[in-house]
Amino acid sequence: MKRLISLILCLAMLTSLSAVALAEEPVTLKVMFYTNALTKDFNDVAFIQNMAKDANVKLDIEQISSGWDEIKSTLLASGDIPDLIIGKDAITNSDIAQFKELFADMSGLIDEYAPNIRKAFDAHPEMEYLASSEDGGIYGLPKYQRYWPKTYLRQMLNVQWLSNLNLEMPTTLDELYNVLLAFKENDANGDGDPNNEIPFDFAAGVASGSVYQIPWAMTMLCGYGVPVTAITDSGWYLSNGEVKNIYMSDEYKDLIQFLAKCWAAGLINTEIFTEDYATFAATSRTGVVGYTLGWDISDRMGSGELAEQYEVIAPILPSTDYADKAVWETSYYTLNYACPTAVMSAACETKEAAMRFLNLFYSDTYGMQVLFGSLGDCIADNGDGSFSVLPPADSNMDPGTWKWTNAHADSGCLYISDDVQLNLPTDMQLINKLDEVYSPYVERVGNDMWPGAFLKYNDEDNSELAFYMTDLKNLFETTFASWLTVGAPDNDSWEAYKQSANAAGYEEARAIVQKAVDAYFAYVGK
Amino acid sequence: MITLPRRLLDNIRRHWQLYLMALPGFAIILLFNYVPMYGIQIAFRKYAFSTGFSGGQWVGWKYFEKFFHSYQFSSLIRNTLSVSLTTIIFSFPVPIVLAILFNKIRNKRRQKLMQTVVYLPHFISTVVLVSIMTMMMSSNSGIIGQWAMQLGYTSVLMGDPKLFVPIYVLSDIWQHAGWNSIIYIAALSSIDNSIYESCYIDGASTWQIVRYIDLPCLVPTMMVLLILTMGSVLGVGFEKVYLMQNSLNLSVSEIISTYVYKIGLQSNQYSYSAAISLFNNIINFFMVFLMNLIARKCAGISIW
Repeated sequence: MKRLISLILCLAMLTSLSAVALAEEPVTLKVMFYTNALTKDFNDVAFIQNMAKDANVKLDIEQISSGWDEIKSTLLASGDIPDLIIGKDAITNSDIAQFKELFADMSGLIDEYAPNIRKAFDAHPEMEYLASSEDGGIYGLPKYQRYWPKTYLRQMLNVQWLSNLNLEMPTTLDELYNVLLAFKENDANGDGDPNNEIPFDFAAGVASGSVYQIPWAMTMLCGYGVPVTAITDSGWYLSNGEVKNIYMSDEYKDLIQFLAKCWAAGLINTEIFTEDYATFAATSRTGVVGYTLGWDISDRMGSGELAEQYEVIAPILPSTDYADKAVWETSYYTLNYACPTAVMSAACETKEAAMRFLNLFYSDTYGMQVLFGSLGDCIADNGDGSFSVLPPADSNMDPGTWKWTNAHADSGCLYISDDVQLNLPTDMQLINKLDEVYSPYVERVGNDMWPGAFLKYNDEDNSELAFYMTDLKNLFETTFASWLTVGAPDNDSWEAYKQSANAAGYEEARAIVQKAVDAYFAYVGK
Repeated sequence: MITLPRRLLDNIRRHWQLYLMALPGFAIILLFNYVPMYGIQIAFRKYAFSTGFSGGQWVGWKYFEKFFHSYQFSSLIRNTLSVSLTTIIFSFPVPIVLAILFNKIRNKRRQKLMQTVVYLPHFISTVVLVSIMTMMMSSNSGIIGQWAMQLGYTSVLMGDPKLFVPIYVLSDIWQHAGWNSIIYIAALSSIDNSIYESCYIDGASTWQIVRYIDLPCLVPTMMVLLILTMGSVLGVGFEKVYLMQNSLNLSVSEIISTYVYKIGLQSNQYSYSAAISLFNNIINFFMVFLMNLIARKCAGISIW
């Protein structure tokens, strides 16, 4: 009997040993995810677990959604970082520059263990450009989410007010002025108070504590044919490949006359420079704003009945002569690309496994799941090679919230290859529908689309540019505000302004930006 | 081995308990005020994180020259001085007046209550204070903004360059005068009651008591505080100005400290901003030195 038991035990030991020899024991990876506060615990998210299984790794997940800056600075200062840090804006390029020795150079690893990333780089060489640092190493991985719109800002007009007052849809600045004036003088919203309408509202230099963008009214320069990009604070744009600045353009000199006229007539919200973004966002939802700009109608007006009063309108032309010149705002590169979205620790002992895991983020099946959520719960396989993003299972949630709850979403490290066929959720469909108004205008921008995400500066240029831009921004900001509120410039003061901009280093700054733009075009053009 | 002078050694031996008590204070000042001065060298170097404080290439006065030739140099100095000098001139006398008024309240409980009420605003955080100000002065919904509109005032209160300094100074007085009066109240309470009694017996009026007893007793405190405030003449508090800034008033509200923040922290130009701050501190140091000299010559009062 004894002998039998020992035999069985021996056999049991032998089989377990052979099992180890057959399948490699999964290694454990310490992964830190920087996510939105809405996002579920990744330990319970199916696609993350499937990825771990496919890469044959065990994940030790730490998920951070608030207080990141404090966590990051102690993490970096201690020098002890987890194997992988994944998330947009988690580690920035300047962090990598400052703490270079902490991060692994992945350029060699990609070629060896990450065929998907290699494929992505070959299909989109601009991604590799984005990821490569000055010394040629790749310390952070980029994302490309393909489906995001070309436009960041859309202009919307209250068409119900138009019909209340029997007005025509404005197409030129003069017509717009008359419409806004009618909004001001009459009880356009029909609530009995003719004085509570704000004909024109826009964000102008979001007050301190937020990311500063150009005053949104500057997108009206698109009517003149100036291809503005809104997600930047310094107003650069391309005109046939040449870097220029909206603040130094003659079109701006003309537009500010119009805006100052509007201000003097009381058509523009007087608080644009002093209110914070929350107040700005809340004002339009009370139904008192006639003409405004923003991401989309539901973002500015809420999803209730008020939203139905508004329509997205085409660029307003300075005069009918500009009909075939007008363009519209583009922020395509900023909305679809980011880098770094994932970094690897230089001290990671299992770089091969880590790379295998990262490789999956760039596969056709997982890329879309990172963006929209797990297959089954959030994405349906249509069986014919195409996929559909499912509506939220929880009817109380809008598609945006559903996405942020179930996926790493826009903050993720991901790649949607151009072969993937995916039917988008309703909110994205809506945006694309709105953009039909702008697509002919966006087409005209062509190669002059601002390559914001791809501009890279070396240390010296970076510090020179920062030095000039601090002064230039101060000048641009203050003159815009004072011209708008006090009165537009005449020829003399315009010339004096251009001279002060040159004294503050405008040409030097322009040359640095031009150099970066040229370097990018030289790379993608090859 | 450092050899201390014989007299100092004797002194330490005799009063070692006192030296022991002062030791933590010395240590803190040494650790937090002198040791960090090691970092000043980055104002003269091209600083990079990877190489540390002393690793960057030596560039001498480059960053200082850059600042002096900078496009905004003159307006920065002008704005900083206008904010700080106006604050000093108008907010310096208020706590003194308050202290004398409080001192005249006979009922001790009422005096304490009044004092507490007046210094409570000191504990409101700057962010909250500026938010309150912005809301009250909004021309759409704020109470003060609406009044101004009724009076025919058309520009935006928080954005008017002419109003920036007055709003800054008045709100500063409102917030801090009560707190700053505490030190004067303490000085007044140290005045011997018999002096007041003899005044009453001689038939002095309240005004005369203030003029000949209270004010002269406050002069030493006033002088010391004035010398110390002169030390921050170019170092106007950063937070409040930064929070009150907007593109309308930027022409008067861009001061040295907000500029340093923008160029140093937002744009990562550590060496350049260190140079500006060092310049700033040297000016402040000389202002203290100068004021102290004047005070010693004129009134015989000085802090060293």
